[in-house]
Amino acid sequence: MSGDEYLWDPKSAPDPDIARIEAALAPARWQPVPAPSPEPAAASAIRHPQSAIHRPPRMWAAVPAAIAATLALAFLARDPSPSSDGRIPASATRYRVQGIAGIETAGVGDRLVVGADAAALTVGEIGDVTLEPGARVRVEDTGADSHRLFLEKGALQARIWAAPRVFQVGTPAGLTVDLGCVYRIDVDAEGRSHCAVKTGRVAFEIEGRRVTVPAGASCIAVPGRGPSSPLWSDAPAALVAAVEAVEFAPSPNQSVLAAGLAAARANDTLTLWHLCAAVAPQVRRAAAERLAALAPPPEGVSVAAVIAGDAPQRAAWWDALAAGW
Amino acid sequence: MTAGVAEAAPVVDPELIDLATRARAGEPAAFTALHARFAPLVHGILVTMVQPHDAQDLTQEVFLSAWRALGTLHEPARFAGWIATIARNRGRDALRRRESGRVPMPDDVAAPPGPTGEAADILRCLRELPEAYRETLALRLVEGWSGPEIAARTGLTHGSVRVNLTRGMKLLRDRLREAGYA
Repeated sequence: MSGDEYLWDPKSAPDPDIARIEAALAPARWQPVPAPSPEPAAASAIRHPQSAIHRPPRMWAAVPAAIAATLALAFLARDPSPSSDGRIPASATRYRVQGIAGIETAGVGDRLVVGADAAALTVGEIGDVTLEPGARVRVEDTGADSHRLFLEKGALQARIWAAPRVFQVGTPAGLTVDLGCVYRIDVDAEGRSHCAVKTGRVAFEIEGRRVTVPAGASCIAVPGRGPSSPLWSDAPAALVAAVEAVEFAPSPNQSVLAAGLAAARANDTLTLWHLCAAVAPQVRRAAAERLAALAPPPEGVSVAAVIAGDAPQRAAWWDALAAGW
Repeated sequence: MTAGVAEAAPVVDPELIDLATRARAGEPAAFTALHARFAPLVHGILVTMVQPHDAQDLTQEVFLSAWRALGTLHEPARFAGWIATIARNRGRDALRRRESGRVPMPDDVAAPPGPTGEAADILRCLRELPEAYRETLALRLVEGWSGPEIAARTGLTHGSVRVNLTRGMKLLRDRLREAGYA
C-alpha cells in the first residue's frame, strides 16, 4: 500500500498525505524539558513553560496539630546497642526532635520513648516522622544514603520524599522500605506490625519474602513469619478473612479460601498476586487462577509457571498489574 | 492480533537495563537519562488521550510517579512497558477528572489554545482508533520516530510495528475521509 515504506522509514520517499499529516501534528510533539525533580517542592516545576494550566502542589498528609506545641513526658536513653545487622554506622548526623522535653536531637544508637503526646523527627533532608504517643523507636542509621529507624513498639507515620529505599523502618516482624510515600506503622506488644500506606508505596521485607504495599492498602506482619499479602482498605471481608486464615497455613481451610477468592474484585489483583507466593500449593493455584480470570497474564507469562514459583514470570505479571494500583 | 506497548516483550538492551537498574537504586543521573529516552514514548501515548498541552504536563507527572514507584519494577528490561502503563493510567485519570469537572483552574489563568483545524481533526480521528494502532501511529506521526525506533524502544517486534502502522494508517485515512479530508 502507498506510504507503507514512508511510514516505516521517514527518510524514504515521502508520501504526500502522510507528510501533510506529520506537518499538521508537528506542533503537538514532545518539547524536551529537564526531568522533574523527585523533591516535593518541585511539584510546581512540572508545569510546562508554555502551558498556563496550573496544578496545585501535591498535598501531603497533615501532621497532627498536637505535635506543634505540646511538651511530652519522655526520656531519651543512650543505647549503645548495634544496628540490626550488627554494625554501628559511623554517621554523625543527628535528627532534629520536637515535642520531647529536653531533647533536641537524636543520633545513631539513641532510643526515643514518647510519652502522652506525639513527637516529631526531622529525618535529614528527606522527610519527617511523627511518633505517636507511647511509641518507642531506636535510631539505627542517619547516613547520607541510608536512614533507618527501628520501631520497637507503638506507631509512627512517615512522610518521605527521598529516592526509593533511602529510608527504612525496622520492626520486630520485618523491615519496611520506603519507596517514596506517607505511611503509618503500628507495632503492638507482641511485635505484630500493621503498615498502612497513605501515598506512594512501601515494601515490607523479611528473609527473602517481600510484599509491596501501595497507597490505600495495608498489611500485617508477624514476628517469625513476616508480612501478609496487602489488602486494600475497602477489601471484602471474606477476602480479608481468607488472607488471615490461609496464607501461612500448611493445610488451609478450602471453604474460607474459596469464599475469599470469589469475593475478590478487579482491584484485588494486588492481594491475589501476593497470594501466588503462599505457603500451600493449593492456595497458590487457586489465587493464580482467580488472578488470571480478573487480569489475564501478559504475553510470555503462564499461570502454570507462576504457580510453580517462576520468579521472573511472576515479576512480569506484577509489572503489567502494578502501575494500575 | 494487534500488539500494544504494554504487551511488548522485554527490551534486550544492556544500556536500558543498566539505566533502569541504577535508577531503581536511586541514582538521579540514570533517571534523567531514562527521561530523555522515554519522554516521547510517554508523551506519544498521552497525546492520544488528552490535549497536547496537557500531555506535556502529564508526561512530567508520569515520570515523577515512576521515580517514586521504581522499587516495584522487578525487571529493568520491562521499563518501557511499565512506564507506558503508568502513562495510560494517568491519561485515563485525567480524562475522568475532566469529565467530572474536577480539573482545578485559577480564575486568572487561561489554558493555552489547543490545536485547531486540521490538526485537531487528525488528533480526534487518531483517538478513535484502537489503542495499539493509535499509540504506534502517534509515535510515528507526532513524535517522529521511525519504525525501527518504535520497535527498539517499546519492545514490539518489527512485524507488530509494521502491522500497527499500516493498518492504523488505513483506518486513520478512512476516518479522515469521513471527516471531509481527501
